[in-house]
Amino acid sequence: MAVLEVRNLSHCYGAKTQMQVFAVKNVSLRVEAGELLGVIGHTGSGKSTLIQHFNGLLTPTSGEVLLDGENIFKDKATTHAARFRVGMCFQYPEYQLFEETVYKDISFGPRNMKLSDDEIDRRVRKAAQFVGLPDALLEKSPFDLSGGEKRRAAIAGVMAMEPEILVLDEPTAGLDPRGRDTILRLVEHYRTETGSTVILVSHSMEDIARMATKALVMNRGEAALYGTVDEVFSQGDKLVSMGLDVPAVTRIFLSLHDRGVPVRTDVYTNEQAAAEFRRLLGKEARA
Amino acid sequence: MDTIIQLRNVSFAYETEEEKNLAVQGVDLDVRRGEFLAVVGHNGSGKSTLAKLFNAILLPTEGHVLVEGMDTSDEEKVYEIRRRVGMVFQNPDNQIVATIVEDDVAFGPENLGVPPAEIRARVDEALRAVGMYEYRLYEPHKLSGGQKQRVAVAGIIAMRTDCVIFDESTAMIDPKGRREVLETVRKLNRELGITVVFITHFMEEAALADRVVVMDSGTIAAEGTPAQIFADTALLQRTGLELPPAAQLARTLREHGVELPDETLTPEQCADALFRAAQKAGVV
Repeated sequence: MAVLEVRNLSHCYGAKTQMQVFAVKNVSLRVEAGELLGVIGHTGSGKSTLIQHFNGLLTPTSGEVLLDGENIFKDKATTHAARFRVGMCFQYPEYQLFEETVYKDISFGPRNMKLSDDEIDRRVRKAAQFVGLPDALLEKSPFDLSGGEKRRAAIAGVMAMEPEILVLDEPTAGLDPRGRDTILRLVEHYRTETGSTVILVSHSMEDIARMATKALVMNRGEAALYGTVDEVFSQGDKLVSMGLDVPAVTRIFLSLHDRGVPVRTDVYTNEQAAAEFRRLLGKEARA
Repeated sequence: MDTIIQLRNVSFAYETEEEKNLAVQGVDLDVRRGEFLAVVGHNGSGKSTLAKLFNAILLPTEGHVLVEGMDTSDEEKVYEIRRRVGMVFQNPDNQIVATIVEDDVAFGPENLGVPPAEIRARVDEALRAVGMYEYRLYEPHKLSGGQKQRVAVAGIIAMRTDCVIFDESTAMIDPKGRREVLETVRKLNRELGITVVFITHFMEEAALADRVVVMDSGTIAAEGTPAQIFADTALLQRTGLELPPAAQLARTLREHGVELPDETLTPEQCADALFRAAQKAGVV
């Protein structure tokens, strides 16, 4: 069964006024347990509005959100429970650090869940371990950490709630190449270790191509493309027409194709591109 | 070549009560007039501190920064220096001061005491140069991140600045906005001869520069053309950098026995090189 199902979800800002705009229009999707869903779309495509329905922060104008088959808007208690079942980590989460120590900050979520002190402690330490923050840092003020460490502390705060689904909105924004790589690797490690479902919103097509099992492309509030990474990324020309940034590899092969080189344009990783170019040059046998 | 900014043995330390943190140490660097210089380096390498030393936002604790011969430590020259060297910051929302786009662009020249008719002309010219003229009567908060950054750029060139420092100005905006900003910057550099110092985490942006400076632990670890810098695998490894995506593809292709020239750093260069390889093999 799908851990998360969205049925015909629409969200309208300023409903019943002359200013009404549909930020999300009739979106349906099913996310199976343990998947990594990549969500792509440029600013204003509706992706942030969409994900804020997954834990009940926003109520849909129409449509349903189901967690393990149960509509989270059924009653107040179910909506409230959804906050803990779907952990939401917003953009630049380090701006939301506020406690005296890193430990207290990470424990904020589990404490709100009214868990025992022992359980809170176990979760804080496990989450810190997942994001690679050593014990010595836990007693420091979060404001004394480096930028990358702050970001990881904030992500640990969401992981410590042990949500069934972890939603990360642009977790690598503003980081240097090494910092980006660290975050993506820890997310992948967390997913394989815990079997959790991860939803990753990213502007980086390269990151989505590398990590995701499925991809959702939002455009003008609609689910423009939705499928396996292969299905979505093989439609490079469509992505370009939506003004999206396709991986550099795809862009290069689209340009070759335009210039009359008989190459496939559905490549999006370096390895695929190399294999395709060798095929073109008639070098398959040399592998 | 003519130098616009000279750094001579520049060090800078952030001091707190307990410790002294040397962010930049003994840096010597000349920014050449008219060049597009990229500065890269991992978080904490000192590149943003360096940026703030260029136009007297920070003053060196040791050594000298000279802007067209004027020392940034000379308080009386700060106005003149800022008029020549402007800066675009990381967060597009932190540098807009007015409620209408054209008022925001006029803010700089107004403060310089430029006559109103001249301001009008400069604002229009600056907004056209960054491709935001049609948006001159918009409210800035209704613009995208990339558009806001272009308005910030217009505000600087309306002051007739010779040099613009971009301190990770593309870090917080989406890929489309990033392309818009980068295209604008390249155009100003090529067509108006404005000197550009571009601090960035994105290697594909550094690949477009005339020259790249790599910062590491507060010092200059390397300096050279993008081709020279990105050919040095050990340097990239040591300083926590990576190849631009197109160069990564070129590397994979070379591993597969496809011969490509060294300078295959941008998608355009890579597509050209592959096109020629295909021609050579007689498949086009």
